[in-house]
Amino acid sequence: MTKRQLGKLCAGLGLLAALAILALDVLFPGRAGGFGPNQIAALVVSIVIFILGLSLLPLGDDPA
Amino acid sequence: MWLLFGLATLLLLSQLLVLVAYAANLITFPFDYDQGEGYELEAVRYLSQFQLPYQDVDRFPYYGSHYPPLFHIALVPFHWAFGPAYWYGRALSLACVLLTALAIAYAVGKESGHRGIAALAGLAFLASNTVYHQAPLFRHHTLMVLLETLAVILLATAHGDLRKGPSRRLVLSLALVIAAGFAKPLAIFTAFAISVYLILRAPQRAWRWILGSALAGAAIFIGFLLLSEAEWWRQIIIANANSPSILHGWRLARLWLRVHGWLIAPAVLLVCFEWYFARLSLYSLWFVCVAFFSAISSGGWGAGDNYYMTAIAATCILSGIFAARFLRQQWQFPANAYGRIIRRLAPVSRSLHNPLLVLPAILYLGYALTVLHHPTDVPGFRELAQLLGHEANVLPGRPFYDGARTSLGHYPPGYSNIGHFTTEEDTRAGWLIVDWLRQTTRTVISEDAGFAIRAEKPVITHAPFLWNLAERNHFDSSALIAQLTGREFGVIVLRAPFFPADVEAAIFEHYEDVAEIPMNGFRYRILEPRVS
Repeated sequence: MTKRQLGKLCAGLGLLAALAILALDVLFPGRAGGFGPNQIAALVVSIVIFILGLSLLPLGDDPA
Repeated sequence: MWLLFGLATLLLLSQLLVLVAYAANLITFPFDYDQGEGYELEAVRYLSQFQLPYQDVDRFPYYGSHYPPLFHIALVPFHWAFGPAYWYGRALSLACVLLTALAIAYAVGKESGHRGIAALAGLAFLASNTVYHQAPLFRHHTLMVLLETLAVILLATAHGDLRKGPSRRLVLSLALVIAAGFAKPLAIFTAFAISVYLILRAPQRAWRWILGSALAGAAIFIGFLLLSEAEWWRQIIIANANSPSILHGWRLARLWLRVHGWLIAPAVLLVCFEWYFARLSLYSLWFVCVAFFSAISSGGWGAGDNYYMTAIAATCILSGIFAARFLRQQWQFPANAYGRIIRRLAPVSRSLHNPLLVLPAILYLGYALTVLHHPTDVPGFRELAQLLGHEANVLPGRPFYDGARTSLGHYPPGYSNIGHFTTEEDTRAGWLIVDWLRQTTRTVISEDAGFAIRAEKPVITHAPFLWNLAERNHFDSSALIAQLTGREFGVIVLRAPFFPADVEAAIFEHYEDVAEIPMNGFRYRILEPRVS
């Protein structure tokens, strides 16, 4: 796997996870507690993975 | 620089000395030191009689086990030879920790060729407060960490191209990580790291190896499920499915960062280097995975700082490799987008390199000073305590200093409240409790199973385990409560207590306190059936 492929994978997974976390309260409006600390922590982690993935894109075909 | 390295080595060696003394103290201690050790000994007894410890917990003797059986199975020959005793379980656990340290030293030496740093990396693992606490306990965790570490090192040091096919090392590594999972299920995090590594290195073939290993693990799992008439599922999966508290997890993560930060910083730098300038090593993936998942899982009830032990092993390997490369100037930046920027800074970094050579020594010395834990009443350590202003900060009356705690002895929930040495008085108090149990001809309940084992009585109940099951509505307490209501037990010994609420209520309704015996910093309550 190359650095670019890994970057795309991480950025994609991070983005998907972030969207899923944000969508949780929309899809399940009856959930107790609202947007809680677990969701905030998970969102932060997802964004970090997304950014780390993006930062690999310039590295092209270097092996991961 | 060499003076700092010498000081760091001296301090880390002193911690090894403390560990050996602590282990010697515990190996000869005949009772539970850490809550739950006796229940593990009872699981060994079941297996030594070719019975699974995963009994129907709703029925007498209401005993079951949270953990897979590999650690217990390893101790069965000792049980046959020596009967029920703590020493062999504690000695095995210590041996696992020492072997893990040797494996860490081997990994760093193999990767860097720097023997001095390799030795420091191994010593750093042994000096960790978390490792120190767990090393000589009758518990599974150290065996899991050893098997995980060996699995990772075997695969990381494998020569040849994984794309050409599986090597013997790969097969052995996968077998070891499956075995680790049957010592303690937390090994799943290491299995995940290995899977990611295989996917990165050999994407086409990796799926077959991962699937094959998963099937092998699943076959053993199903075997236990069938043999235990499905109790395995209730006891290993449901009883362990704690929802973690993010606050507790965060506090433990902060403690891990504070105590091991001197080595975590270089480990993170090496991960960053590999992320942008080299191939990701298995060590880096392992470090990231186990640190992340330990932070998430360590906040659950019954979890604790020991969940970081694998992450500490990975930290010691990565920081060791970083230190060795730093000393030998083994950094190579490829001509990629980021490498070109770094190369422009080369003249600056070259001029700074010689003064910065002292950095690895500072890191190890800083780490050694942060993790320090030692008796405060033993010559040599007494003077060290005076020099550094350390005062005893563990259990009241125990002359022991633990650097991971505050000066007042505070620590976050989940941090093991152990590490002090036991005394002759503790042993005497233990036998006094055993005498209470021996006085009755009836069966007894002891929250620390060791007292019942010493009194040659059957072990009845497994308090925290029943509590866990009751929390998930998977424990039918009616039979146990009926026995308590009928006052069938001659004596009950309580420590925490950790029983389910309805069981605890029945105990206090039908039994009354007759004595209280302090032992090892805890007050054990002796209860007998109420007369009225």
